[in-house]
Amino acid sequence: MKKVLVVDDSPSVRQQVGLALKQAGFEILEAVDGVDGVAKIDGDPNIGVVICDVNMPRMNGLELVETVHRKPQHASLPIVMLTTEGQPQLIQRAKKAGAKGWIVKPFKANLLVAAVKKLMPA
Amino acid sequence: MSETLGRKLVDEVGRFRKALVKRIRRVNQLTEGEVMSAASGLGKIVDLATQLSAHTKDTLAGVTGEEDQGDVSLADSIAKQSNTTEEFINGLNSRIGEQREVAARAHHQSREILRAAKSVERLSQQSNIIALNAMVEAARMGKYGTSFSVISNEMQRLSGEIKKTNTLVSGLAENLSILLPAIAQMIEQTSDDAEDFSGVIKESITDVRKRTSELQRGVETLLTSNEDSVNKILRESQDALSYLQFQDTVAQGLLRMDAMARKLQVRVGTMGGELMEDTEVQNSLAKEEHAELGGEKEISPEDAGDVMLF
Repeated sequence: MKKVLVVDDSPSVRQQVGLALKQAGFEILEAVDGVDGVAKIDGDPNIGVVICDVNMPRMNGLELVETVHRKPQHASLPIVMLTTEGQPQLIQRAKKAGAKGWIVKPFKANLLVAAVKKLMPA
Repeated sequence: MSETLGRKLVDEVGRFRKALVKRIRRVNQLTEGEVMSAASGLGKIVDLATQLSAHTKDTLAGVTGEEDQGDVSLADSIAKQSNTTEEFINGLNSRIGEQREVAARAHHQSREILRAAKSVERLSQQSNIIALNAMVEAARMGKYGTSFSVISNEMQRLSGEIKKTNTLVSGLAENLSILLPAIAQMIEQTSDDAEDFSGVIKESITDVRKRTSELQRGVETLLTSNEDSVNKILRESQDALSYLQFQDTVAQGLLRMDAMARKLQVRVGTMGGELMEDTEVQNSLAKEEHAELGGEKEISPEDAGDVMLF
């Protein structure tokens, strides 16, 4: 089973995303910020998709995308930003860094699941 | 602004900010805890509903069977048994019909045997008369009739043997002609019983088929409604998850207040001129609780939940 890594500093958001994706049959891993997220990605080759917040302490979500995609082994890892932000310049920056999607909180569980299913490698 | 007043203001704002952050943390902890407990309850409800649905499906799978899994359903099994019973009853009726024909033929043949025995008896009587006549002729011929006399004796003995055997055959045939109608009657009775039995069985089979079909339809309806209920619970839990996300928005709003308080603290410090250069004042400026990349722009409710895939 492919894993989904949920990176968010809010425990309740991690729990809510986890519940929605678990119900759809995915295995969930959690990270509390960007630094933790990068470490989890480096440590588990079975992570198929990353759902990542933007505003987080230590390392924000956009820095995570840039850091992860600089590493050749993770260059094609799909990362979707899940955030309360919606500024076009941020979305553009995420896109440029290689993020695969942008979801505005509060998310709709069925749309989030559909996006993960679409991006999850076979 | 004098340095003393400036420092006083900086300290006051610093205390205000400290108290604010404390409250923000407390409110966040409380709401986050409640929201997580509600979400956990939702998760448990969905798990229970999913487990119950799976258990119901497993329990009822025997009734409907899953063709793609190669299972034989209860309904199929009953239908197969009904067909086998029906075939057996049809075979039994066919065998009884054959036996009835055999008995009728045997009865007819026993009558033929009786008629033949009577005809043989007549022949035996005729040969006896011939033998007696031959004996009379032999006596009249004296010593020339000796060989006639031997033949006449042989004919008489033969006639006697024929009569004896014929008595046995006709007795047997008579017994048969009495017994065979009784057997035929028994077959008729068996045939009637079999017909009644067959009627009852066929009626039962029709009833069983009807009830099985009703049961299968009932189970299918139950499974569909079970599936619908679980899907409804899933949809509603997903909606509830969306509502629970208010906590994150509230938390972000509260943390934004910390950012504003920090800005106020810096501004007050700047108003004091060189005060901001003071290490003590610098040290009192704690970092923002939650630095934001996007600033203070609020997300409009219409944009919430939007999914953009690049």
